[in-house]
Amino acid sequence: MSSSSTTTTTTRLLMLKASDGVTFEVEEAVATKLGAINNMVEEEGSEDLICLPNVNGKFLGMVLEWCKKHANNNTNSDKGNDEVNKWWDKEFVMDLDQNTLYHLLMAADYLSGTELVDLLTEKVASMIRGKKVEEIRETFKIKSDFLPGQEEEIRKKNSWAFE
Amino acid sequence: MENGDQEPPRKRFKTLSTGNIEQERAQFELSMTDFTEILSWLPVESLLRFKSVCKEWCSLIETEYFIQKHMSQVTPISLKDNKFQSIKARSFSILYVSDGLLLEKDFAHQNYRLRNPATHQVIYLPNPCLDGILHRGFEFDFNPSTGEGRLVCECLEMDMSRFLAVDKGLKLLNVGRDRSWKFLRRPMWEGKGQVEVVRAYDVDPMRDGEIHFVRIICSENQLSLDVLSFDVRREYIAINTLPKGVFSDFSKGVFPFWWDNRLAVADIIEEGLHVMVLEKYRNQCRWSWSRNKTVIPLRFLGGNIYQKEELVPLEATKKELWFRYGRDLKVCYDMKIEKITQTIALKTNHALEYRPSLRTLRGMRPEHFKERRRIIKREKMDVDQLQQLLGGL
Repeated sequence: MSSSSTTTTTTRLLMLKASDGVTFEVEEAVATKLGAINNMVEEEGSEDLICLPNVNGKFLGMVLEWCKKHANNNTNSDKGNDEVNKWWDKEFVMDLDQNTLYHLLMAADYLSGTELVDLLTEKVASMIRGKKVEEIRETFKIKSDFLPGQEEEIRKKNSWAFE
Repeated sequence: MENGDQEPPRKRFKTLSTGNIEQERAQFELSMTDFTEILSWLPVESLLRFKSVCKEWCSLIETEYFIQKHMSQVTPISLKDNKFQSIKARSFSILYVSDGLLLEKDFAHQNYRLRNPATHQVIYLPNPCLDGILHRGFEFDFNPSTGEGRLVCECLEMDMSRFLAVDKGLKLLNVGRDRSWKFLRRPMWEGKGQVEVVRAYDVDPMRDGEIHFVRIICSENQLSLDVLSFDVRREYIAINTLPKGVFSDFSKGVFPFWWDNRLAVADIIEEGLHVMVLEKYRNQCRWSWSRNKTVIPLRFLGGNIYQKEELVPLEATKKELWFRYGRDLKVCYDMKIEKITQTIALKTNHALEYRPSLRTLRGMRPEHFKERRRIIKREKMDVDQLQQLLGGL
């Protein structure tokens, strides 16, 4: 805590640069909704350009859009706003295609946006809950590494879940 | 942070480290952390199925960390809910719900069982033989370090001469291991001659495998405070008497509550909460009272807003002290800044909730359809027998 007294009234702006060179100018209060950015700001001050080589402009833009909504509504937190946010979140994830969803999730995870990760993972879960094992392997490109017979044994234990 | 003279010139650019994600692979690969998050939102049925996706998923879904994370995120079902009614088994009544497990009793056949309706698993339990004994509810403890589950119930006996229920001790069962319930007799209350329980408090529910019963005892016109403490995991029972003179007056009663997950008793004297904590050190069986009273100043009682008489301590963590205020409020007192920081409505009993979970215990078996059919058959038999009996009359 130093003697800076300017932060209370004026909002500071941060420059974020995505992997494809696209830059975003956002208010500090918005960007610090992301744990990774918050850490950098707290550790080293916030006047500089922050490079994010693992996120491209499209997804960074979407992540920041989410941050903006949630940073604004946090200032006056009452129950009505909670409801509004929930609706907004629902709309936000409603029409995302799989590809966008997974890239967005990776971006949110990389930037430590915990609440956004929760929202996205819940959405992924709702999309895969009824899938078959083979479909899961295909979607996530996972290879079965069970020894012969092992998989059958697991299936047998809970055969009703496969019906 | 101070800007000292020695500080190197500031960099103009900052780069968030790329970690070990290779950019090409990052194209479409989610990490195991992402998968943990995704899977934790799924219903039990999907999880049991996805155990056969690969070894990594299978072991993740079986870890205690995942089981607890999943249980904490799941939407609880109220016992009054229609959804819940469909989980109920026909001939069994539910005695207790915990950790996604239902303790059920078939009154006609005196069968007890623990069932996980979400995983379709069940274990039949030995009869606790509570005939002739009153018993006060069941409690379940799951010890995450051993994976063992224990059931406990409190045994009471009716003293017909005084129309009083007298507590005799506890019955305990290590689920999947014990063939019969163990009886642990209550040690004698402190005092000489005729000993009478003046006031009894139940501190609910069990915490980390410990149950405590707080009693104010009268012996030879002297009041004392005894705590019957029970360590479920070590199967150890003891009475801890509060040292004389700590609280001058028991006649108004005391407040038992949880202090940092340990039992404490307190009294509000003028503008301060006086607390004695029942300490227990790790790997030790015995409890002992804290050496000194802790006094928490409650300066807010000085104003005219809060009435001392309406205040009941509920729970203290490192920094926060929660009180029940009046009938339907809960207030949070910050012990560091010595101020009330939150006031919320008191929640109704959430023990009446069922949280579908992956919890499984030693000895649990799949609830086979054959078995279900047998139960239905038996039910039918009972009806037949009843009809015969009625016919005979």
